[in-house]
Amino acid sequence: MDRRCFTLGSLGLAASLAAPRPIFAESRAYAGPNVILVRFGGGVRRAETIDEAATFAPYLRHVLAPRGTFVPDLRIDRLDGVNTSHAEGTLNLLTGRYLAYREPSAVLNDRLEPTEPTLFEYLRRAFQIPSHQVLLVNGEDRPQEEFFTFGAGDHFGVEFRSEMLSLHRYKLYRTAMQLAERSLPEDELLTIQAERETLLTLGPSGATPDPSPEVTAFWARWRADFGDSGLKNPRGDRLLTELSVRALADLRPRFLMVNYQDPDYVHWGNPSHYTRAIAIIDEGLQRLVAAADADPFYRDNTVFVITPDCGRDANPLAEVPFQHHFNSRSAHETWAVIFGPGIARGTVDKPVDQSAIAPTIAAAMGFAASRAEGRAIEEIFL
Amino acid sequence: MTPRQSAARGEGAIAGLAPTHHGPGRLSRLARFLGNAAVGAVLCTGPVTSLIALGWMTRRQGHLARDRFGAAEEMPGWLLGPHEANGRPTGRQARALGGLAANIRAGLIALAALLAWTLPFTLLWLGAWWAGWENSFNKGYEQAFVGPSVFLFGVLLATLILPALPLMLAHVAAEDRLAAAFELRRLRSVVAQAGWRVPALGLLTTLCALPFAAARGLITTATDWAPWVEDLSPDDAAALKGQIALILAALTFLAATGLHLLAARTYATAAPRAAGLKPGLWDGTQAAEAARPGQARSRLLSLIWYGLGMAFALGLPALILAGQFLDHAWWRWLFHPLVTLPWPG
Repeated sequence: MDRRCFTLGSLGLAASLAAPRPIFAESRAYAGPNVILVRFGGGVRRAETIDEAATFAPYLRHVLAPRGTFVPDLRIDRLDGVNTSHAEGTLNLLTGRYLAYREPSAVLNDRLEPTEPTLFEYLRRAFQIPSHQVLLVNGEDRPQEEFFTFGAGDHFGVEFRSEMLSLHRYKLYRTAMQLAERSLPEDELLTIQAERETLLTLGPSGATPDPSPEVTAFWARWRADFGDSGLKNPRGDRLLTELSVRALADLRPRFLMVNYQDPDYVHWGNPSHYTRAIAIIDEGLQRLVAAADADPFYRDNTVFVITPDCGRDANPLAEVPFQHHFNSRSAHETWAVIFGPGIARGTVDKPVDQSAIAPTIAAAMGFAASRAEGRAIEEIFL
Repeated sequence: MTPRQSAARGEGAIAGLAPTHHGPGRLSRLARFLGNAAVGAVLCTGPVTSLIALGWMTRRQGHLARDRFGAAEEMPGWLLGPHEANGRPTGRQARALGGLAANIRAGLIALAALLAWTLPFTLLWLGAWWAGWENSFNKGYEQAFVGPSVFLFGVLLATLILPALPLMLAHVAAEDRLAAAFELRRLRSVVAQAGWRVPALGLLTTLCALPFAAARGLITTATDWAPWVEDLSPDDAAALKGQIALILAALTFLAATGLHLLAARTYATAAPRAAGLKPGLWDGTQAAEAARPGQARSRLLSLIWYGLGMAFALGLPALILAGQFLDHAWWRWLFHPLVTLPWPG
């Protein structure tokens, strides 16, 4: 895609999307590139990721960055009320806006739900893509991010949601199956029933749509391989890589977002958790890229966008300088690596706002994120 | 020359810093206080040098207690040794460095005693914290209860031990021997005689620990309320860290010295009563010299005072935990400036 096509396409799509329309009335088959958005979370500093000498993610920095456009100076805007944290940063990436979220409950104050359309909704409204081909892969420690698949409010909503792959969703599948099979003793079934009820209460809106038949089949294969105990499947960010690689093979997503999260374990000590988690994500990237490069459906037809949700502090006075809740400059500083077909090789040597990521992905896929605040990074397109 | 006479000459201490029993006046005492605070603060900036400060505090404790028992002796100093020992003049080397050597010896004894009593719970904290987050990182949630359970057991041990710790150290200081730290029957009797002073010391210790937890919070949130911190060069950051360390060390020295001396006063009151009540138990101790008829304390009342001390002592692990949440360092589980080494870290 050249810049002229990109601009014309974006404008045309923006104009067409602005007009009111019935659901699916004008959506069409998708023929653009696949996109894999990797959230290099939860919260990493430039120093440990993209610094050429100090990086703990050598594959990202030395192999992937040269494959496309490297944006070393991506920034979270310093607006009143903008928090440099994981859910907030993720929703900034997904909506292209700041503060486009709300707390569904004063009690569950660590939970946010988007109040503006997410990329999933834009994409599925613009194109006839089934829900199982628009996927969000989430970890097991941040259930509050299970519900970013569609937003609240008067916009596109649940009809255009993505589907979610996570242990939370697998447990919903497993408990449903165990209760249906009734092959366990009664007391165990009661325990499973209680577990299921607890899982179902996690949704802030109370709405946990049933998975599609394709995703249900995905979980059936997962269960056959890893069983019911939860002790055989990979855990932590390795779990996300496993889910993603299997999803590429089984579900053929056109848009896949992977919410890596484990560098955040540095909050409470053990700085090695931070650097080790970065290395684990780097290994995950190797598997993801290798899987895409080996598959004709994805090879030369997939754009990777790799970017953190937020930075972390650089507090020279602290023993563990990597917190991220204190509004420091460093916590606002992130980066992006974008590569794939139609993406130029090079470095964007100017500051880019985080709200540009969503419209850039939209432009790459041929739709407009019409309610995003940011503008696409035009110079990355060939 | 009697010990009091030599003390009056300021011997056994750095000239100008030497505290004496009967100093010339307020200005002189103020100068001595400021001098001691300056030396102590500098020593408390590092873990190794803080051992000397701990030794000096312990010697001051012992001196205060023995003084109350009627055994007059020279006030301990930082560097210089006494002019005489056992009735005979000391050598030049002992005079030049005897105080420092005595401080190091007393510091080692005190630290060994304190670690023997505190490691059973601080090591549990260290291990529980490390293993707990290691477990979380590796998602071994099936064993998730182990870390918090071990930690809480450590807290229980801490609340049992912490109220008695000041009097244990005062006993060690008065006796000037490590074995005194493990004389459980004597310790129990002195704790019983101390009564309300046990929870009072616990409360004071917890209150004095507040600024250190607050300091952790201020340091951790510095980039929020002082954004310029992020832009400091490494040299400037190191200089700022040095200044913060010095301020915290001064605070540590003053608070720890005050708590040590209060504990010594409590011991000096309680131990002679305990010795009077059970003379056989206290035979051969310094407190036995000042034994006076004591009243057997109600066991229930003693338990109530100790229970109150445990409740107040609970605040200390809570503050340590909060500080570690804000900015974790493994050694802070083992060394709290008001519990073991007077080093704020």
